[in-house]
Amino acid sequence: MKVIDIISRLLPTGADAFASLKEEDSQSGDNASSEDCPNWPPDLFAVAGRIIEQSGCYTMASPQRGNLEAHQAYLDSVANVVARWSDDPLVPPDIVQDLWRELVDVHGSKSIAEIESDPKAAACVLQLFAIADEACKSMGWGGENKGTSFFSQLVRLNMTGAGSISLHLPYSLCSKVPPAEVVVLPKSTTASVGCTIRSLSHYLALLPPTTIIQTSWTLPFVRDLEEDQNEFKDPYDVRLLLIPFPFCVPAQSFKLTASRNKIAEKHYWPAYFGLEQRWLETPQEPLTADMLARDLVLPLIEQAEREAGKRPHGVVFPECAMTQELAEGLVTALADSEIEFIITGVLHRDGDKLFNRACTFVISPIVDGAASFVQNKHHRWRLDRSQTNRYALDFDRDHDNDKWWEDIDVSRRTLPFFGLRKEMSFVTLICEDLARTDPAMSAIRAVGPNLVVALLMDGPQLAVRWPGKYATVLAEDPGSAVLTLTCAGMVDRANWPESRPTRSVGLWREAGGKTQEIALPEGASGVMLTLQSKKKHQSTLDLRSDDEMARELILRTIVPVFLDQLPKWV
Amino acid sequence: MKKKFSFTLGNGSLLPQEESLVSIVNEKLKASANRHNKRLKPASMIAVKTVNVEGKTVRRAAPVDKDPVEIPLAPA
Repeated sequence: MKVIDIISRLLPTGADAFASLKEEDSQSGDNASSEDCPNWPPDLFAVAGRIIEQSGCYTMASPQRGNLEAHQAYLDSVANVVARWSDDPLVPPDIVQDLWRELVDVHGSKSIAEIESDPKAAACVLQLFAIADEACKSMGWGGENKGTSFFSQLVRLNMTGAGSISLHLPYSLCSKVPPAEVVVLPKSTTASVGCTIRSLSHYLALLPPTTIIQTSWTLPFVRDLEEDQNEFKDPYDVRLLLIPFPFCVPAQSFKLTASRNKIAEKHYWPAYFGLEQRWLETPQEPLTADMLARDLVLPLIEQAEREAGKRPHGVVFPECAMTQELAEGLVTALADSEIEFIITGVLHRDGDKLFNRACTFVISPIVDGAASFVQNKHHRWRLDRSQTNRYALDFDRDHDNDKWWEDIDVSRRTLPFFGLRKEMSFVTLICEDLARTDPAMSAIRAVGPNLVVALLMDGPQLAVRWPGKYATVLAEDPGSAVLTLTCAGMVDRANWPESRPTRSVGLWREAGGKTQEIALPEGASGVMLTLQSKKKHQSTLDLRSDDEMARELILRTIVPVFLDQLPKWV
Repeated sequence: MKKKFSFTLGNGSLLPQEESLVSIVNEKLKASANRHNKRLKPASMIAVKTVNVEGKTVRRAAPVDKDPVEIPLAPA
């Protein structure tokens, strides 16, 4: 494939993102062809990024050690070009257009495979990539930050409904590059290890197309950081109340939904299991959202505030903790509790399909409502005999069988990233998805969310077990903090064979290397984590600084939360 | 429990300190168009408008010729 083939493919309708703003007699000759220079920086980023990624020429981005003065001049030049483009946004500066013409006219006919070994071609596309990235400083976040470019300000307005320029939000920041080809989203963390294209940008991330996984970016409600805080201070705290509900998982919750069947000699249709949420039943009636809020969650929030001195910002429940209907009822019941967001795993039936989902609700501080983000689990859990023995489960009479697949639908794969606070993003994974590489990991590594929350239905969260291993991978590259949370009911079942059980319901792993098991002491019903969000300095492979725009989360304290009186249904 | 609660809110309203973005963006667009002898459609300018969302008045940015709208979130 030639360079020009990639350009034509990514810009099928030309390169003028501002065409719809111009009167017709002002449109002629403006970036109408795919061979014209894109005038919307995320489009330029997408094209240059795809060429860099496919050619592997990011390996050429590091400056020559003996010529640092020249590199400083290069950095100054990039900053200068970006300032000029932001002041005159409709037409890219001459240097950008010259570089683009060089890419098309001089290098366009070259094979992608030639670019890495062609210093001039590599330098050309790397410089275009760096300019596009710097032009999008703070893009996707609040627009009033210092140094925010025109383009980032326009995106901020677009995110609140001002669609004067057509963008592919919330799926991509691009205008002319279709998301079915490549996706560009805001970025939180620049990978600090390895040598990949992820180490080459601070503000924009290059993601797989939406045909592989439908990622999205939303900044639901920009908030002040603390109750009485009007200005952005650093560092600040984020407090999470973890509720490892259910506290009891009866064996009858696991059901065989399909037996193993022989198809041919030594070839079987596998067995499937399903979950019945028996913990949502009480002796008198099914558990209601009001009961859950009144008897458990609101008292835990109040008690957490008494124990820690401050109210939690968010509440997190494990995988499959409740139904989606119950979760929405709980959010409604907590609307006046000053809780900002709730993350929970749910089982949801849609027609004849059953979905294992993660639901995140960000409650509006202004109106009676919430932005809700729903994603389906991407991979089925495969229970094996060692696990059923460990959890004391015996739901299949076929004792020759030793594997059972989770009976859920795994289609409609989405991965919503959301900015919760300024420069702080979250993404949620469900159990098995933390361990599987495809399709989510490449997107997560590209965006580098500050926090990855993994909702599990698993045994004790020990650093030596599988969640610790996979959390370490994400903590290293891209450098996200990872929080896993499972339910106390499954931890207790897994601990029955242990003479010295560890009641660890969660695991925290941060980029700096710290790993912390989060224990639930006997009698506690929740755990409050206080995380500190602090500035982090980052540098790209071509030694561009982010001026400490990035943030990292550090675990400060863990406080168990006890209730004087537990409701009988718990 | 509240009687009316929406789960479809898609985009946040502008903070008071962000409303100045509208004039900055409009001015830069106009200046850039003038510099290159381009004429922008009047509708390309953005204005801050109020919109009723779930019974509350919030402030949104929208093109001058369009009503502000709620952009839905990505469907599951």
